[in-house]
Amino acid sequence: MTAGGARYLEAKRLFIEALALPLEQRAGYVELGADGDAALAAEVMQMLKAELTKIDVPEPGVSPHDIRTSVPGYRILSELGRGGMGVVYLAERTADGVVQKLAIKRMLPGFPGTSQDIARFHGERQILATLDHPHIARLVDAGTTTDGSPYFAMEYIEGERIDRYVRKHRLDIRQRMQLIAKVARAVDSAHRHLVVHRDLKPGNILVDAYGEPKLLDFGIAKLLDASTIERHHSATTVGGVQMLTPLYAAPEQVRCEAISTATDVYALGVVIYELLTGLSPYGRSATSSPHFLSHAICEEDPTAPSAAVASSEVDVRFALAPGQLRGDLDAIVLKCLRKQPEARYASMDALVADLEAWATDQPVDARRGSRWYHLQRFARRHWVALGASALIVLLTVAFVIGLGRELNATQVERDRAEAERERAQQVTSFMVKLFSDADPKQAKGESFTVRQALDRGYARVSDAELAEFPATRSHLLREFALIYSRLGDKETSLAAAKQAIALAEPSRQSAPLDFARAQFAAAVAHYERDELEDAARLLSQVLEAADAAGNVILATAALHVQGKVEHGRGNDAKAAQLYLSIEQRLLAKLGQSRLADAVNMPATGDDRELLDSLARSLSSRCTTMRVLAKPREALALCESAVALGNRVWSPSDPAHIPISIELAILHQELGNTEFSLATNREVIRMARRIYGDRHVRVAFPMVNLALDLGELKRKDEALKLMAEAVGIFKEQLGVAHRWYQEALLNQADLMRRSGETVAAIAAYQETLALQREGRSKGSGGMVAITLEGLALAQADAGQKDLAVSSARMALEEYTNVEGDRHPSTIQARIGLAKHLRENAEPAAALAEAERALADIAADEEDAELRATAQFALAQALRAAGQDPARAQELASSALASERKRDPKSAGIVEIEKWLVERR
Amino acid sequence: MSDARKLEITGMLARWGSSPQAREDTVRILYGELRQMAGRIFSGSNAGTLQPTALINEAMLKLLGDAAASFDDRGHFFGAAARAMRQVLVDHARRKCSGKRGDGVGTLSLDVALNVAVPPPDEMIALDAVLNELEALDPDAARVVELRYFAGLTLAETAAALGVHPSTVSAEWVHARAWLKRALES
Repeated sequence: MTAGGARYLEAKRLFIEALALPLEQRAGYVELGADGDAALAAEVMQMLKAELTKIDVPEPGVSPHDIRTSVPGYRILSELGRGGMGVVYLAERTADGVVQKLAIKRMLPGFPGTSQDIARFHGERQILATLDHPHIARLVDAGTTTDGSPYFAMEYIEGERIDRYVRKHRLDIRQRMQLIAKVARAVDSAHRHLVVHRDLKPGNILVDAYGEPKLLDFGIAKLLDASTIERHHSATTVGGVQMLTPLYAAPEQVRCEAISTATDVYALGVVIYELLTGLSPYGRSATSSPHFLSHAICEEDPTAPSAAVASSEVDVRFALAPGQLRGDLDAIVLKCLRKQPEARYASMDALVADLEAWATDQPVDARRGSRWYHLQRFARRHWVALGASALIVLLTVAFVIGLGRELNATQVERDRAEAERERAQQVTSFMVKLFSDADPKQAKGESFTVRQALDRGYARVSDAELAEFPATRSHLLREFALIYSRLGDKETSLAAAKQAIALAEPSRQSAPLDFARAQFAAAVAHYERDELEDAARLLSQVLEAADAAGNVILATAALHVQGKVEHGRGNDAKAAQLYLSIEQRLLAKLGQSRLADAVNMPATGDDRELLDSLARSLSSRCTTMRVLAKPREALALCESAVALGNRVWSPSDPAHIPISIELAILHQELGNTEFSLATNREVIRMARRIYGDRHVRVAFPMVNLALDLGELKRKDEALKLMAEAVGIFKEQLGVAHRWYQEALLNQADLMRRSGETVAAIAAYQETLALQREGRSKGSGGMVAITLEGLALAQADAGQKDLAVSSARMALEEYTNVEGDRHPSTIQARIGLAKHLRENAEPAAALAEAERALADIAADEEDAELRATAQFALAQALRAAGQDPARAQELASSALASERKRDPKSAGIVEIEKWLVERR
Repeated sequence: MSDARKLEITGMLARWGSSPQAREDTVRILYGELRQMAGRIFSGSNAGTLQPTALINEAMLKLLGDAAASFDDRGHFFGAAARAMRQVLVDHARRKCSGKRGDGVGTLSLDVALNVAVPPPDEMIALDAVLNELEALDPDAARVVELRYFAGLTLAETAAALGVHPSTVSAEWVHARAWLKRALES
């Protein structure tokens, strides 16, 4: 033990002993105990003093003593909290011999408040004075402090923040919802007094010792003029925005648009979300920075609470189970969180009504309007009687949905209504039977999954159950086929679809749509199996039948898969046309002439289904336009699709995935890599949740994320992720599949850019070998791209002669596929010229460069292509030792053009460097 | 923290390393625990600029990055977690200080800081320094501060983690806080 250590222990012992004594005895005890060591006594006394100081108000000019007596009639006890301009103290006053605790709010001491700040402070006081509700902290008194600041005294709530209260007391779902309903009623009461709170958050809602919530802090609340909706860009309200808690801010607050009672509906929605899930609605990546958060608030659809709690990030002790949230509570919360204020609950009162409906198991308004919903509601109330687990009920519901749609579609066919009803009953009783067997005791509770229920159902239907009702069986089997397709089980899907076709065949004349729908299911299965010809053949029959029956939904569904087939064949222009024709048909059916109008029309009734198809088609056409190198059109389509998708798709709908991928790719192409990266991560998370870890739909965004990482020079992460993604494609699709080959090509490019030249060359060559085996599938363009990459990798490896021959083959491929004067062909020729030049063949390089520039059409819009060709020719001229004046002129022209096109272009530096080298 | 939960974690820690699945389960559950700790540290939403989740992620990385660190029991784990979290906060404060000096966001006293919020970077660094001094003199006291402050444990939890009586922790905590405060003021 050192001397310092001994001294420390001595001081510690004295301190602890003295602490046990009454205040006035401590000094004497310490002095005695220190035994003449004045320094030791002083040290212990300093510690005792430090221990005592509870109030610590650092502002200069106002000593703690002054603070304590600064409000006449009150004694300030401690500070409760402070904000940008105000501070709240706990204080007590004695009135008629009774000591009462109150919270006193005043301007920060020494705060040089502007007249606006003071006005806002008075505003809060005024607002509180008008509110009288058991769940809003009451105004008790108001006045001016001794140092001239306005203050007011509120009821002091000895309580806990609502979120901590929920956690500490482990409230169950009903108890949480009861608290929330009380808060909503308090906010509603404020709205009735034309007050919008504007800063609802858990920190402003306390729960007192009796379990009653109290709403606090109307600090930035606003009095609404009954006749006008106030605009949000006056000076005071800009201040209001700065004080907002961004996590709870509504889109209109982030955008500085009009604030209304719907703003509080939104914020309360976030609070409800958090109280049910323990998570923020926009996930982890969004809350990591204000930028992403603002973007998420304005653009991203929040994850449904039930889906959020199913993720691994969740705090299992706080969050409720997915099954408790799915359905009504998802719908209520998401309705609060809609981006457009007018799409949320029309009033806090309407939200209160839904919360009450939920509490009594009545249908909630957020989901009203669909007939099957009431069926589900019924099932819920008879839950115990049915003896089924939540998952199984959900599956039943999925079938009932399909059934409801079916009934709707055939309602007009009155002569068939009776048959349909009978069929519906058969399906229902089949399902009930299926699930009533699923006794939780037999099925070992949760281990009985949806997939097992599905497999069991399929086994029964395909095994001649319902044999006397072929139409019903066919219907069920084609539903199974589509579900198995979505689950990626292509074999079972096709088998089920073929059975469905066989069963519908005999009554093809009387029920052509049933037959067509079975064919459609088979076409989807063929498409998923990459059997494009079979798919195309079936689809044209489906389309014919759908058109004959005037069924737009089935027709557009068939056209959509046709588009995908064309895309798979490499006919992207044809695919784009098909998608466009879908959109035209849908617009006609919706009675709209412009896409923008359709995107904004209300998604109700039958229109919803049409708009759903429209969003999917826009999403597919967006991909196609990007592939066709029309990023501007693609981005516009992407934005329309996202906007529409957010309105018509549930947040857990897989349809969000392809369009989010598109958005990421387009941002990547626009150079916004960070945004692309965040989007891709989110997509991967979403896709894993929906499809599982090893699904190709997870692998696509993984490839994109790897490319983003490569772009950001995070080489190791990028290569590892890419290898994993390529592995998934290989495992799921086999090496002959075009997607695997595309992934491999991406991997080769990434390797080359990361300096892994040898590995890159091997990967390019493997890609080429596979492409050549399966030539028939229209992959000419891809072969050329691969050869170009190979040439670059060979050049990097110093194999300059090989690079030249690869580049020459790439040019041949492009010439064959696209023709002489296509931009890609010209680009390939420029590449060849460069490789020739580097291989010390200046004359040949010069010839190719001359030809490239000459091949560019006079009206070519692509300024970069022309500049590239000009510069390539300049370089070739110099290498050949010819015409320096012309070389100079070409390079200068390219430089000017690039500067004009994009001042940040990498080419500018290169050309400037070249021009300097000359001198 | 329920008792059942505690048992679960202790069991997982014992199985740590026995299989990838056990390891994964452990991380998942511990992640929840760490979040909880961070929530307690960050109970004031305006404090600091490091989000609880980011803090946890960094702390987990530090913990799991050291593959050799095998935790015999819960107490060890929380000790490691608290140290990891302290390291994260101090690193963060250093980065912030070197980034923009005199940011001056909030001037919370240590007393407030110890209860609710992350102090501003310069105070965090100063706190780290005096805590090192305390550690040299009185390692047990430093453990208590780490567990209470950086791991956000309650008195009872701290006592359980250290295997001592809560009243001992209480005395250590009051003293250590006063000692640190005095050291910071001098």
